[in-house]
Amino acid sequence: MWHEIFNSQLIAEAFGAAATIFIFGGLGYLFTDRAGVFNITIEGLLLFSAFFAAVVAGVTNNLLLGIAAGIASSIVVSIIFFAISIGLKADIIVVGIAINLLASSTTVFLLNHWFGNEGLYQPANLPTIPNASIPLLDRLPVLGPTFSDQSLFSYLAWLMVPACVVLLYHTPLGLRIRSVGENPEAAATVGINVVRTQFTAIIICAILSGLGGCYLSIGPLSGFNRDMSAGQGWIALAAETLGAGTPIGTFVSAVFFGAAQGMASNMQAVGIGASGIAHSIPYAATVIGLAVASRREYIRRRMRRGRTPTAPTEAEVAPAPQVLSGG
Amino acid sequence: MESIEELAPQKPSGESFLVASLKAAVRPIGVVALALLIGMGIILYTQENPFIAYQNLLIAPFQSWDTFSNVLFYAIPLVLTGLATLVSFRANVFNIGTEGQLQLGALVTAWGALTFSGLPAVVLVPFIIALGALAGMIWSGIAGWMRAYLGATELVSTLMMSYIAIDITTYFVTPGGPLAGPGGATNLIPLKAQFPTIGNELLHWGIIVPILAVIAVYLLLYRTPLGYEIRMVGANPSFALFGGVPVPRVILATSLITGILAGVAGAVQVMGFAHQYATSFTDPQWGWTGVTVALLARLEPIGVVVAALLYALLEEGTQLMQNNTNVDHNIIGVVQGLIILFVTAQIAVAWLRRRRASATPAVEAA
Repeated sequence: MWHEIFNSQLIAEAFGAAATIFIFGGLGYLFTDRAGVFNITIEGLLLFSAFFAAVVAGVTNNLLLGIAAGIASSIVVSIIFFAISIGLKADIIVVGIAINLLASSTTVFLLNHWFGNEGLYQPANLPTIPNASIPLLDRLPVLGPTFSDQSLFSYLAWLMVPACVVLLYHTPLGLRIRSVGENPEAAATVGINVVRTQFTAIIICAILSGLGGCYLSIGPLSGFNRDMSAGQGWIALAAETLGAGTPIGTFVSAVFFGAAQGMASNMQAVGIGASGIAHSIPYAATVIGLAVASRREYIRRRMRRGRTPTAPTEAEVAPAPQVLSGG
Repeated sequence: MESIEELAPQKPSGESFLVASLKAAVRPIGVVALALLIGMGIILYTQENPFIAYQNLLIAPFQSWDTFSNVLFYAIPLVLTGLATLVSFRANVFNIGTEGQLQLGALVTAWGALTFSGLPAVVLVPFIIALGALAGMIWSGIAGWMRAYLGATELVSTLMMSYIAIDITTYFVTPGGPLAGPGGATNLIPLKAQFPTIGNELLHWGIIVPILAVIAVYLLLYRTPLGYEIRMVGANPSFALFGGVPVPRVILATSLITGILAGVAGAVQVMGFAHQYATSFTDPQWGWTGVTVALLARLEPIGVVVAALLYALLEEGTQLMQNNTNVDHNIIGVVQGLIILFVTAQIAVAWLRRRRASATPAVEAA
């Protein structure tokens, strides 16, 4: 039984299939987080882009147009998010919740309106992102399955990790994003346009989440299901938190959550007892990961102050989500 | 720090309770009207007649006791989940896991009613409601504790816990599960554990529970030290901390109260609506709608009643619209999403206006 749950297929799943969305979403959230924007719309962005990618790819029978539509829809929604939350200075969390609810209802409405089906869009000729193997690496003993017959977007997701490291740590834009997130007032005094930098970060996040959404609907699953994001955008958010806001850390956490997901689907495939319960393994892993990340943060702060805290600091009480709060 | 407290109407001390309540009641209507206007545009786009659709949606429910009692019936869980959301959000704790807390409360209530069916009704009814409340409270408390004492963001943890709860309850009632009766549901609970219906309608005496809950939450927020602390933490956590408020304990308390209210909502739905727990309990999304209701009500207990009734009206109206016209009922889902977006925008505009009026030199980040 254990052999079946932890077989090499699982490792392949973890690296390839299951982790892909967490990597895209987590890296996307990372840019907004580092720019001091508490962007909880990843879940909605995944759903919107998955929907429009599938619909446009299906209707035009053109894969690239589908991908473009997925990314474009994610960007449009993100601009609305930016305009209301930062432009109008509305409560960023409430706007995020609204966007996520809208994603769910709008996609179901359009699904029914355009295709007369409330749950599923799966045309026979839907073009999907092709799979590929990486020569030589796919011959590796244990990791072989990871590099053979995976979606091109999975490889793209891994490539995004070094790309994000470069963008965040070795470009002027990355420096601006980090300074704005670190201390907006100080960034503004040295001439950085805080709002524009945050807008850029939101758009980067939209593109990455859009790629994740494309993978969701025109990747291995090939088709759109209602609410198919199923909390994966939130898990991506947790992956970034557990990864301490660094691209590498986010990648590692995403693979961890991907492994949990892979284990869950293996258990369900094998049909182990409470296989319905297995479905919640990734969610449980996320809660635990979040607790570990927060505990680590807590200890780090305590060590820095060099004493046992009698009362928690403000940061412990409220992890300051609303950075751009104006007054 | 700008906070969700902005959502609540600023109450001048001289204003009477009645005036304040009326204001809280009227405010959501403008937003709903705007969202409905856009909905009208969408209906036109689908080439249906928006006037006939809205006649069914908004007016028909008032035309008979039959349909109006249904509006009250639909409002029951929404008032409870709206209040559940409100308590946490008022303390700036974004507990969005009420959906799962409700499911767990419902399952445990059904289990209690089936297991302790020997008890007399006077004992059994409060006992199983308490069981539901306890289940919701524990579930919400885990995420609340993580937020209060570890600083783990409750947005993610409450939602993940919600998914886990739904997996658990689904497992219990799918065929082969420990509590599974026929067809993806528990057995029917005994008659004495059911709320009797009012007349021949769907509406049942469980409607007393949300009424009591509104009064309780109102008194809690405005007449108790804990309520004062909740509002203070929501307004400014660091100020509250320096003012001697035990902030982590307040955060934990709000999470527990949220869980209790969500669990009770589940209990009431089992005892008054379905008389069993079924996998289909997740379909109406009472928990999620509660989030919208609370935001629409600007986190005021009295506003929650109005917002829940508005949503219930849309619910019953959607049914009628679906029966009598060809308009796609999913449009209402879009309208509901727009409503919150407008609520947030409305608050933002009001805030900007106030800021301009006060004309103090603004320290802008940008």
